[in-house]
Amino acid sequence: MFVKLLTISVLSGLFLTACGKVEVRKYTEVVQLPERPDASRQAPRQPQESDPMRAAPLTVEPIPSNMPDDHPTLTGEFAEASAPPTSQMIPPASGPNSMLGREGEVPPPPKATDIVWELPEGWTERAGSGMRIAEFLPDSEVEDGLVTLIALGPGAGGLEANVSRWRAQVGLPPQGESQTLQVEGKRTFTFVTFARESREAELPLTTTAAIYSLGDRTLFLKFTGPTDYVTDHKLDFLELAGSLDQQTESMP
Amino acid sequence: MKISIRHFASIKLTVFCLFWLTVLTFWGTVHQVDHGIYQAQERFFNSMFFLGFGFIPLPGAMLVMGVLFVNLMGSFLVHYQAGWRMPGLMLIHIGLIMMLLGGFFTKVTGIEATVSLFEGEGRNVAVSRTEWEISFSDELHAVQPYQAVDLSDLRKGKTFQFRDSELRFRVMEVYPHAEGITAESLQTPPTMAPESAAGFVAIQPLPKMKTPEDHTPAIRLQVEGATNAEQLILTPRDQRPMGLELEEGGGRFVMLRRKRYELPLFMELNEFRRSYYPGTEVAQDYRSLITVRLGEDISREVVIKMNEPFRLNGWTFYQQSFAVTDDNSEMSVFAVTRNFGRLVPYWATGITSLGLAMHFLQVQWMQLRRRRKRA
Repeated sequence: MFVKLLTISVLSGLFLTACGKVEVRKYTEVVQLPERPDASRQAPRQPQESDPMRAAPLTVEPIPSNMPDDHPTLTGEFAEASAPPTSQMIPPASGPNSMLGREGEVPPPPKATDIVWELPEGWTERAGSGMRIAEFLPDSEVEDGLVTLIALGPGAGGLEANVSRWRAQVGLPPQGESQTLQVEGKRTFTFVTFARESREAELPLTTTAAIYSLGDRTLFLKFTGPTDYVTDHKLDFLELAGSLDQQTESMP
Repeated sequence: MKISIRHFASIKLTVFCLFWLTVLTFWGTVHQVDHGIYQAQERFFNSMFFLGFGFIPLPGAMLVMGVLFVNLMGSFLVHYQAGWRMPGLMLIHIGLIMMLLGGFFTKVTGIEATVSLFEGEGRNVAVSRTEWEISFSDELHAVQPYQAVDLSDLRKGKTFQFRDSELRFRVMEVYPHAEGITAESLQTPPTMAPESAAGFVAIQPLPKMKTPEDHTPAIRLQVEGATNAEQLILTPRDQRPMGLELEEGGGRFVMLRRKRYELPLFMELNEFRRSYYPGTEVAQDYRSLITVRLGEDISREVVIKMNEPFRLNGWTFYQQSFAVTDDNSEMSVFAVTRNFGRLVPYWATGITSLGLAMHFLQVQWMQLRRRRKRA
């Protein structure tokens, strides 16, 4: 009897599986994007006799909503995918059904190869990864003081929210009288510092930052380190911030 | 009262379960007229319980099928004493149990997704039509390892963490269908605005749609371990992954997107063709020439066309649809299903039929023998 009950319990347990744990899946996504279309691709191909694609020559311009009677019914996503031609090869994700799960690929991932700067004398530069474009060390011997250049989306949470967070990170109350200035460099940026407050509060760390709104993204050049160290290198930091620029492609 | 295996093996329970399944089938059929198939499935067939008439808790088909399975197993173990002397009855039970287990296996492991490819494009993942995930990565390369959690696993208050980072996420709100709210539309903007790539400061639930493909989920997360965010709002309206800067250095990208399924192959669309019946706008044929890569050195060309899918290791790729852009680039859309138990119902039906035939013949033979004995 025990074996019978055990068998039923195990099978019932499997049948009525209800797991409360959040499972983390891992996978590798491989995407090979098509090359840009050229004129040669536009011409209809002349099929060869042995061509497996021969049975389907191009005949008339498509009206995508027309399907044969025996074709599976298209649901919203597919119906929308078959909608009249869109204006871009890979259009922006304007909604959840916009492009069959292509959200996040368009526009392309934020790459920062168009951002340039001039390094102050004596500073060293390290390549960043992901959203961190680069890192700068005013003094290669002092790892505590680090300048990071980060690219985030437009808006990126807003200036006040970011400043409040940075203040909290160094131990200042979120709301305070940070110095905020609009500075004209190669690109106009918002300069934020609360070094004086940090010094008055005798806090070991402080932050100074330059924020750039570039339309499609927001750049944060952020200098965090020991309060005296940041104060000492403030002018060099401003020199770096003023030199930062976005290269624009010239029209042919 | 002592509950024994005999209670589970009750024939009355069998009759009640079958009767209730009939009621659910009828009720669900009527319900789907006004609410759509998806809502009917979710309410009556994919649920353990549902509220009848808005307030009476009633058992859903999942619960009834589970009870029926237990009942069938119990009945088999308790009542069936004939062993292989009645092989037909034995086969009938085995066939029915196989059918229930096959259905459950398909329900748990089955996948329905799509792959959409432009000519010259290749991918190794299919995208779910109805399921969503929060993806997590340190870069956004063409060959990119991801970690992901399914949105359907997340509830308010649940926490999760991805390997290789100290970031911790706690679910504050999650809705299967919702809309984002911007600061402008709020009378009193929140004091701490969450990070949102789409510029939302809050989310609010919406009634479910008739088709799950139209759902736009949304989630608000509390983040620990990031220097640039304490709260996140992720929605399908986000134009790009959200970047999180880690306290320990480096960064990670998170995004709410349709769930990805890794395929056992890399498929590249070489060419897509379509044709129409002459003089009409009715599609006659779509077909795609695909290069299927199974490894570094193993590849072959496959033509997938309407009603002639390509099958590989339990996965099936159907030619589903297409789209055209204004520069005449064509995108071919494939429906992808994974069903490792595809043949189980056929086997189960065959075994049950064989059992019925054997039992019928055996009973006839036994009656004939009895008559001869009497004579």
